[in-house]
Amino acid sequence: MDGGDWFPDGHDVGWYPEDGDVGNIPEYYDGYEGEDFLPEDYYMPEDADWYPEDMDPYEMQQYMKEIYGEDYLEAADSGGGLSHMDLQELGSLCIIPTLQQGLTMICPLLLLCLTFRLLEGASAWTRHLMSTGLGLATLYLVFEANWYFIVTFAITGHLLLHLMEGSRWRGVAASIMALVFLLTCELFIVEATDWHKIRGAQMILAMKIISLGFDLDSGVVQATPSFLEYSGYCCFLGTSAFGPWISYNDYLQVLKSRNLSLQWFVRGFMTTLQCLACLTVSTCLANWVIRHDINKWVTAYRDALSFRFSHYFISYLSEMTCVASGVGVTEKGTTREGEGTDQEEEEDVKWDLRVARPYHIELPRSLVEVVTNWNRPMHHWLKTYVFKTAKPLGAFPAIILTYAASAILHGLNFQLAAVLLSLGFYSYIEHVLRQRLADIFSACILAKRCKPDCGHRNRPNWTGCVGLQLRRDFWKQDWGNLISIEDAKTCICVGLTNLCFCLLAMFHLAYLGVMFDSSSDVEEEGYTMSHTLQKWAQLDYASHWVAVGSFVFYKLI
Amino acid sequence: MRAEEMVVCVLLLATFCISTVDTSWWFLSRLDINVLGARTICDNIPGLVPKQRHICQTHPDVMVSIARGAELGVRECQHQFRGDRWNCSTVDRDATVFGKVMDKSSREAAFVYAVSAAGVMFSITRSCSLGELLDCACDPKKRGFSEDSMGEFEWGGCSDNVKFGEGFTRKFVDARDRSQRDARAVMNMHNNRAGRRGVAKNMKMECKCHGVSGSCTLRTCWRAMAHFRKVTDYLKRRYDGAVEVTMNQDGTRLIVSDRNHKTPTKSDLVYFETSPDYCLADDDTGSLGTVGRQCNRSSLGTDGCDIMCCGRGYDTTRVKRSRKCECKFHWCCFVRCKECSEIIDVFTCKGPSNEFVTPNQRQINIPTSRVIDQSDNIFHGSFHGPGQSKASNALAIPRISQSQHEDT
Repeated sequence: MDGGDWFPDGHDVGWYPEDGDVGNIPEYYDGYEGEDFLPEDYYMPEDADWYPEDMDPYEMQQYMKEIYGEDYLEAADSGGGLSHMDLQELGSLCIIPTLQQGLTMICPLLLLCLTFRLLEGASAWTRHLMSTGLGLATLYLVFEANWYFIVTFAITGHLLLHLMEGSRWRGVAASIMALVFLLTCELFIVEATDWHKIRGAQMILAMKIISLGFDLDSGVVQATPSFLEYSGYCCFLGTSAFGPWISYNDYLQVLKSRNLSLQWFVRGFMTTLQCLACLTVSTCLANWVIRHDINKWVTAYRDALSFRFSHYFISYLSEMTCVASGVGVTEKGTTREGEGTDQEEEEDVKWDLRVARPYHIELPRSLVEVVTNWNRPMHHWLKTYVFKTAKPLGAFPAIILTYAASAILHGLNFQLAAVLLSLGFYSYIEHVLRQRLADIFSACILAKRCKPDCGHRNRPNWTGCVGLQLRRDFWKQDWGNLISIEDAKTCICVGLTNLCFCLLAMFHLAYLGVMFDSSSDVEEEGYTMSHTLQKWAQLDYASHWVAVGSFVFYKLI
Repeated sequence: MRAEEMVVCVLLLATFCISTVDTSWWFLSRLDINVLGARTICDNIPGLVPKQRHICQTHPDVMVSIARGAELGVRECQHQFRGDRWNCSTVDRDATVFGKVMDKSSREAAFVYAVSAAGVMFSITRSCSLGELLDCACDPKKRGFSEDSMGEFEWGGCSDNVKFGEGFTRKFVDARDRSQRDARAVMNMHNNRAGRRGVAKNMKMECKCHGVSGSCTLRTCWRAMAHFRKVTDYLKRRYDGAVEVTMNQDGTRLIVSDRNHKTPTKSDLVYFETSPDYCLADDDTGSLGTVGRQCNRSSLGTDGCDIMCCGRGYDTTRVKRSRKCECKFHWCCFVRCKECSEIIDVFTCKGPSNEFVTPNQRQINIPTSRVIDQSDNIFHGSFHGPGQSKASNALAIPRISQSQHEDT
């Protein structure tokens, strides 16, 4: 191009550091063109102290205030670089790449699940084998080199159940073994980053083994599963990587061949859409809609929201893998002996496995409802295998043991343990407080929705109150005739009370989820105690004080 | 289009009448071009070398981004230097935009080259992300070498918007300097590269973890471009730590002038000559001086009256000014400010003799009343003589120096 050999050839590199050859002039003209442009190159160590890059959003806010004065909002970008973007930019810079990455992760999983569903093996034996094979492939796909931890765990579990054949204590033994294995892995064997990746799958596997142990004890599962059946269950591809826990009987149910139905297809499609929508909200939209750091509580709400939607993404993803591989929920919910005709089976299978219900968590009636709807299979597991087993010890110890089991299954994680423990206490306090208030006022303000036969006096007639709006001759009617003053008062009072508790629950949720932000490097390794406490200290431990206050209030009335 | 052409012609004529220094592509920052008009005025924009003109004709949509980027660079430069003696002022009827100041290979020239290259790269990358450019989605045909009437050239190839922005900026902005083989050209190219690296460095990779119960099984990452203000803040820091270099005897390398200073990295700014002190207007250096500049009496930095006025003292005028105050953010998307009106003192630097010089009308409002504080003048006039203190000579910028590697 601009040819010329004006400069001699010598390219001596001796004097300059590796970055170097800054001074070598011919490079500017010749070697320049092929300069490889990698952003990673630019993070050179000597640049590190030039710019305050890794600031906490709160500190960044203070820093911006110092530099730009009070009208810093124009220059501040606390929401991770999103604050100055308009919708179009957001779409192309954030949403599209995120969706692309999401689809890249989801499609292989989906394909494997569909393969399992569509290939109908001749015998149960073949299907177990396929389940194992495809399940291992899924594990490798998601976790890569770390998959053998999961496989080791599964094999250990089988050995234990096999050895204790015929014993009555298989459930408890399985629990202890799982606990020991998880703790050993976390503390001694696995690297923090790797462990943080496989933590979820290990938890699900532990739940499967423990549930199998208890089921064998109580006779729900008659025969001890052989190695193939067991491995098919543990590695079942719809549930091994992200999937919800399913019981052994549910798994056997899956293996019965089913025809493809439109309902199944629609459900699969819907879950995929919901999954991607939640991913988008979590990664891009939450930080964009609430982009300016007005108030630390709004920021806390945003971070917690982002975390919750990440959880919904995973939940819908697990639903999707389940539905795609054929896990439905039958009407009767029990194992069926023998094969009915295909016609019969079609009618009885409902594809309504729900892992999380976002609506009940975002606009919660109470924290109890949040806890129930956060992960429904896990809630079911905790209720069946931990709570019922520990019930003989008393109600309160049983609750505490349930939360403790949940915390231990999640791993030695201070922030999760703290959150779960706090949740335990909050839900207990709320439950008893609302029960006391409901008794005093005889109103439907319990933590759980009232059943039709609840016997409260102040039961709002919602159809009456809401139906008021829908009447066509609304403006002409005499209001006194449509609804009595008493009914209206009941509606308003009960509605307001429930709304207050709803807002209180949202406040608690924002507080508890605040530490799950993406601002620090420790996100990949698991958050530490200091990080958690620092985040809570910034919010002045408000939620804990409120909970204590409400407990005191409960004791007083 | 006709009107635009006329405007450009008039400016061109004016250019020929006023100054004859080397013009530069910075002139684009003055133009308000749109895609339709770009092609026709390519030949008439002063300051473009043939290669740049060729790019202009073949990529009119990118030219719009380049013009916007140039304007962004100039604007941010003026923001960063608003409190310094040289405030990155543009000269009105000059095709070089900054005047003769850029002729001297000083720190300020280094910064201007860097920030203008950064502005262009930022603007092109952003336009590419928004889908405003036709070329930037990676076209597999656009690989390797290609030929056109001007000769052979190579497509940079691109895998994403940032690379496209960087490559295109390099091709356009460096075009003049690549055809010249002198020390100043090398310095310019180095500083252009530092500016581009500043943009790249301030692109953050935002990642979020997803997994069961908050674990990190899956990660989604995307690249966010920081606000351009962050990039220029970063470049300003680089300016503060710029390294003085010279060419060696053979003309093959740049070496550091002072052995005690650190070796420059690819992200550092380099310069050859020390800056003039910009205190007084000087036709040779192109400095406009600090006469009539507003200064801050209470500040100890370069915008303080001690340093800004170079010891000549300052005049005080009492002005009624209204500004925005108590800005509050209203949900969801508005910032509402009140208007506060206040009477404040405005301090402007005096001229070389102790006469009262008319303050630059552009910089302050027309004062409603003039109050000249005689006592202040006398006090400051006796305390700081012209050119006495060290502060008035140097630009009072902290120099970062580290010990050098030993040359073995």
